[in-house]
Amino acid sequence: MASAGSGDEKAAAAAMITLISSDNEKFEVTEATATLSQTIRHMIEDGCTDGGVPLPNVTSKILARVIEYCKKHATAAAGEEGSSSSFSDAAFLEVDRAFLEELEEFDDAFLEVDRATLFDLILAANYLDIKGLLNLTCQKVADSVKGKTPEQIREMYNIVNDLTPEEEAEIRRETQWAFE
Amino acid sequence: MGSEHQRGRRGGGSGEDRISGLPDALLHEILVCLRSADAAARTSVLSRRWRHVWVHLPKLHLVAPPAADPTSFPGTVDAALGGYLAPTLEHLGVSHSTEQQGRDLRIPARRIAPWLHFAAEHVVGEINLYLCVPQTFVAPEVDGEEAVLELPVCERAKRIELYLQYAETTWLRPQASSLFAALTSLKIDGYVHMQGSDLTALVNTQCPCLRDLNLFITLIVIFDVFIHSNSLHTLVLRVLETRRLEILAPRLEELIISIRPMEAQISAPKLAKVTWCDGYDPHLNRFVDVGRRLQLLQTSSQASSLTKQFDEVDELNMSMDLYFPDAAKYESFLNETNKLPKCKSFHIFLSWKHHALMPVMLHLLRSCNDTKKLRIHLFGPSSRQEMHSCQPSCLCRSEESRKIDGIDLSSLEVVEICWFSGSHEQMELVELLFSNAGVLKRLLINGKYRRRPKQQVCERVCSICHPNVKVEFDELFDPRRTRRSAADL
Repeated sequence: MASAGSGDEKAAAAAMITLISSDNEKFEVTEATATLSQTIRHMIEDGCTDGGVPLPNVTSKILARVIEYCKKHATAAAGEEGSSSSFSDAAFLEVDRAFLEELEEFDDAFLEVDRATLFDLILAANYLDIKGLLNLTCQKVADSVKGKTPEQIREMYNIVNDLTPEEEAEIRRETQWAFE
Repeated sequence: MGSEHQRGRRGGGSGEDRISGLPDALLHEILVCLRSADAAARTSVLSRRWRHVWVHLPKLHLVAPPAADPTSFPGTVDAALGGYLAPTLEHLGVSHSTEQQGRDLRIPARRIAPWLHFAAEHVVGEINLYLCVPQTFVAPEVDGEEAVLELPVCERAKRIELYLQYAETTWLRPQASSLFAALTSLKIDGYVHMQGSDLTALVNTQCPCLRDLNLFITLIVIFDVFIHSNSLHTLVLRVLETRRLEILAPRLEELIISIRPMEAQISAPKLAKVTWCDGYDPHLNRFVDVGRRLQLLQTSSQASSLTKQFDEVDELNMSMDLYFPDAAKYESFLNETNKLPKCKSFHIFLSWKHHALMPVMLHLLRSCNDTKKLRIHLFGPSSRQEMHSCQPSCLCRSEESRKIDGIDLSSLEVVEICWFSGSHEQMELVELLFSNAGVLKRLLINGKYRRRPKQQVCERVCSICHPNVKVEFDELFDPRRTRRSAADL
């Protein structure tokens, strides 16, 4: 039990953490939600969360989305622990499956964002070290380029081709195996 | 990681190239998600920024596309590994699985050897080699050095998984010189041949950290296998041509034997899970220095007598085939199963012909004094001629076999019956459960292929159902199913 928070309330039950975005907005979240971020988990363990956790790399808009993700997935993590019964009871499996389906639907809906937001989420997930969110968002980008030609990828992501034709030809020769 | 690549928000509009501004570590995350080294390498022509991104990817997946010409695959792998520049690699996966039938698409050992050498030099995490030819292709014999594939010492790899079904006669020979010092998990599968002495040396002396070992191999000549390991936690053995198996593994927790050695001696005091899928003979296969209490015991139909080795098991799974009319064989089955360990959860897979169901079930239920959860799969005779066609002297025909004394189901809370046909005998079984299991809370019944039984069967069950028991009819594996309880009928 990390003794975070101001200590004027019963600390153990639902310790709250304050996260402060780059534009100085404050977000109160439970410790269970916050610790999906390994970065914050380490800060809590080191006892340096008094007075809030400043996150100078994350805007309030993105932090709100990240917290939304963490809340949902923190309940999922708690559910998993609760149902670890030694019996593989059909009823338990049923509940788990329904929950996983719901979580998948949540993730799909969560990813319905514009490209700029998606990249901001990737950077935030990386900075906060939230593995699940990083995988989810990177997979989304990977899926978007799957099966696309280099030209299509350039167009999709506004990548300017600064290679000379000779250089490009040389690289294509080097990686010919990948184009076959 | 953790590099805070701050990008200026130049307009932030749709014309901005955000992706190229990501640090390499994040571009790697994205490219790894493609699970294709080819697709990742193709990004090298996007721009100067991208030219050398893929050559430092932490994970490489080289997967032969199913439609591509499989003969060109080895060249692709060579080229990809040749172009890779980072000194270490977390994961190398090479997979070649084709559905093209009848052609000789085996990759010669000499083409695979350089990949393993690359892996030995670079991989610090997992090596996964999956090479599979179609089942219809019958491989001609390859002999001598042609067929030998040397497994070089991978000092830093933590997990190695080899599935090498590219040639039936290939002989995998571990390099004997030094240690697989970091290896915790090793799996070798796919008709690989090994020398018994090589196997023993590999496991006992060359892999000091090995926790999980899974082998489906054939020994080149009938040989003994000694597994003396202080590190092993799980052991899965399907080793053909084993004469004598000796396991001395003080930390072993789980053992799965799928192909029986001629003889075995197993000493594993921490053993908690045992699965025995082949014949078991208590005189030839001996458990010494193994506790009499387990978490899990699974036995195949030829290993029922292994149950006598244990007094208490949390979860007991038994497959039993009574596919013989023979009365003496039936009697020996009863003897093998007359002292089952106490169990909280009991899963019975019962296939039977010729004999009556109730005597077998009564016999098994006699061991359920402490059982809370019972799951029964009933694979009964398919034709009427097969029913009750055992010898007249068979014990299943005796009055004695129908007695219910000695059956105590007072702990039973949940029962699941699968492949329920609703036959007279099976209804009799349900009736017995209702009248003897006083604290039964739930009865789940499903029919063939886990479908809902016929309506009249459901109605019959409900008509004899005890009011305290929740009866459900179920289609277990249909995710969109609607669960109906007895109350809806």
